Amino acid sequence: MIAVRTWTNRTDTLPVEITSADSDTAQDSPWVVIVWNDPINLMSYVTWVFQKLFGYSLEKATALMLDVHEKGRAVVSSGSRERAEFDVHRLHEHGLWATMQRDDT
Amino acid sequence: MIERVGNSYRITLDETSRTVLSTVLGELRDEITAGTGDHLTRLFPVAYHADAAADAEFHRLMRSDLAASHLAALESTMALLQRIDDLTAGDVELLMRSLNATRLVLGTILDVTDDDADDEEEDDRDADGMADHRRLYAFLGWALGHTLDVLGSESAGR
Repeated sequence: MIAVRTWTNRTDTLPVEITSADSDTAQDSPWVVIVWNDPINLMSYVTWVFQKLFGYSLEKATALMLDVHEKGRAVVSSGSRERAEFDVHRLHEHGLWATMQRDDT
Repeated sequence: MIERVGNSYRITLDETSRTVLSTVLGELRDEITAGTGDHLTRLFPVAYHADAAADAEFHRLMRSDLAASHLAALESTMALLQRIDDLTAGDVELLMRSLNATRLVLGTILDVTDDDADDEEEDDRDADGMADHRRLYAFLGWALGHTLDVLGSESAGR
């Protein structure tokens, strides 16, 4: 079961309409959003997306992009399940291959 | 591809290039609307890497919203290619999203791998009848990269 249903008139803010929250949302351990390497997206585009969506500095965005490129993946954000779903959705809107999972570190 | 003009941006592509690009964006719009084609998978990627049930639920709830977002960007970009002038920063972002989405689909069709990135420019063969796709893929890469360069040079100059 996932937590966030949908939200309307969405901007780059957290979702405001949550119609179904399952039991593990309340006892949330952090969730992480992972961006995976792919051979198509330009490195400069990935860096730009990280800056735009997360407000990261050029240095941090570039470091994350290089992690994606060289290590195959990078954790780009973390937080509640709702936040992770929102971030994954925004990354998908921008064409990045992003997934989410519980933080097992 | 674009240039800064005062407080706005202008598309510098010639009419032929804009027509070709608009046609391709329209074709992608139609494919997303129809919801068919394995080559669209990169526009609707997996969200839960190791949980198929959660991923299916995520896509059941979010796919239409994501499709609408892709379609809105494509429609806006097609209109921008007609207007050319007075683009806002938001317009340029939609333009880049559309260029990238189209490139993702073409790259999927071409089965682009990391190895291809190294010899993209010298790859002009047409044994598989995909040379036009490859040229378009390269053009989209150039257009997106150039647009990012324009935005990046502005950031660096601040």
